[in-house]
Amino acid sequence: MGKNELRLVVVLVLISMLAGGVLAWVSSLTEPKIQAQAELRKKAALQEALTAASTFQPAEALLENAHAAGYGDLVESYLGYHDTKQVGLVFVADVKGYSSTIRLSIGVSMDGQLSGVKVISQAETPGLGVKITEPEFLEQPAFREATVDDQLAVVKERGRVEAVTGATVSSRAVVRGVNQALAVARVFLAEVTE
Amino acid sequence: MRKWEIFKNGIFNENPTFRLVLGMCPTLAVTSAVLNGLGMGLATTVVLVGSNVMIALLRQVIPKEIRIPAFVVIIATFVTIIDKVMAAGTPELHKVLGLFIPLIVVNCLILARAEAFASQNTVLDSAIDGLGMGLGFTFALSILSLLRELLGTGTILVAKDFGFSGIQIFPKDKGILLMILQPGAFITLGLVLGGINWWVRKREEQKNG
Amino acid sequence: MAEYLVIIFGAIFINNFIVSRFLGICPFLGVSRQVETATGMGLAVTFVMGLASGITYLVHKLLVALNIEFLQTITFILVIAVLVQFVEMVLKKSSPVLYRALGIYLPLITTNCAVLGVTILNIDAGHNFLQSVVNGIGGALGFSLLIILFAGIRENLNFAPIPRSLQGFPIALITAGLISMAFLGFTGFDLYALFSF
Repeated sequence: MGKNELRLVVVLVLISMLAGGVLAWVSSLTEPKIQAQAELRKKAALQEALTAASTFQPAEALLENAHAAGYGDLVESYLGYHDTKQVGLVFVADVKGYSSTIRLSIGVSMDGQLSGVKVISQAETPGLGVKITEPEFLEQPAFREATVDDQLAVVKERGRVEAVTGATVSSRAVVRGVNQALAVARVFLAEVTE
Repeated sequence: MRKWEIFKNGIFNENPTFRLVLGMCPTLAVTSAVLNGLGMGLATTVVLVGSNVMIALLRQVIPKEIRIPAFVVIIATFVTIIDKVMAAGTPELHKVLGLFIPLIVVNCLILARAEAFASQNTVLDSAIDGLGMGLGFTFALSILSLLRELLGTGTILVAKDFGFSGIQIFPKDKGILLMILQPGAFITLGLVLGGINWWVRKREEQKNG
Repeated sequence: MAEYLVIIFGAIFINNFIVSRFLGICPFLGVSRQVETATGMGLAVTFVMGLASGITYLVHKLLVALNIEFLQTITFILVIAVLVQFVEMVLKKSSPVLYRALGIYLPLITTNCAVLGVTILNIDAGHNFLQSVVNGIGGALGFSLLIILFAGIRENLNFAPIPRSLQGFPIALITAGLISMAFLGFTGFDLYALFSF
């Protein structure tokens, strides 16, 4: 290798090492904050579905039961506590919407009432499917009044849930997730109160 | 006086989007809302100024044969920094811009300025050129996203990260949905470019005749 | 099998790189004046995107193992740049015919954001090795389909009376907008149902 080529390699390696060093430093500064943000957002999503709770414990067994019973859209489950008192359950569900996978958090309180549904992430059609994230849809009476004994459906299928105009597929996806959560919660609550 | 010319050049005469037609992918992808266009433009400006300054500083050190890989490493470093900082500071915006933040690396605009300007000019001039070009890009993205957000949703300047719910100009259901969907991006840019062509030509005709 | 068909058709029609994801717009507008050159570009991109998807998958595994994922962007773009150079060298030596067909497009591919884009999308989607490669090739096929279609339209646009201000990029963009409108019809197509035989 000639002297000139050696110089090329040395310069490039030096620049790369410098870049790597700077990035390692920046990353060490920002990473904790990014982690904290993610956790904060996660907790907020759970809390919005079950406002009565202040802390959440993962409930693996519950999830296994759900999967065994064929409720495959549920991907996470939590028990919600206020102080030490158990106040409800929260499920995270991934349901297939129109153009994306919709991630929902669904809360059920101990008396079997659906306490809240929130969309954590989605990429549905702007202006149409995206409206499933709005309170007009998620906080309609059909959801507010639902209990674990209900099986929800959109109006088109003779249910009570008013689907978002022009976005029946997205709306149905949310209903499917909610139904799965309600069904699993029903079995759980029946066992607890016995 | 020359410095002012360099700065102005990027914003008007050689506006990266409207005149040079560079960096089309982010221009089309993120201009569905003003905040997104503005965020993308400013992120690109930071990378552009950073890489221009760095490359101008190192222009005597970097051998000609390896300048392109060296430029790419420098640009990628700045892109990663802005990516991390945005993830920590403005998570909502970071999520919306998503893929297009790391893709600033392959925005032809940045490599083009490194090659055509920063590798042959002083640090200060390169910084000014980066700032001018970056702001020109930001300006173009803001104009496009203002048009699309307004016509598409009736509301402008929605900014979730800053807890601002926007200014409603007309009711949402009167918006033209197509404007914020993909076809709206192409068509808006096409029409705006056409409009600018028309205006530039008319001005030249007036000057000549 | 069905899974890979879903990935390929999804990448071509539903999440088409150009009209739906806005990746690779520069070559799409720049190298689409003739069908012949567009085909060459499409082939070259398909070749590189397939390879890049596979290699960056392995590189990402290495970065994770070493706990230096913050170097992802920098390593990916370097891998792509080196890969393009390498492909150019190999083609030149081993297949002069293919080199003559693809050679001039290869240097342009390094800054084609579709290539870097697909490698990052693969990681974000958590694809395994084969899924990554299939997604890379599918995405590139979608890119090729569009750029060839578009070149065909642009060849005919030469004979149309277009207002002077709209000639060139503006009319190209508006045409692309109309194609993208047609492709909107594919969103929501349930590929899983289609391929579950």
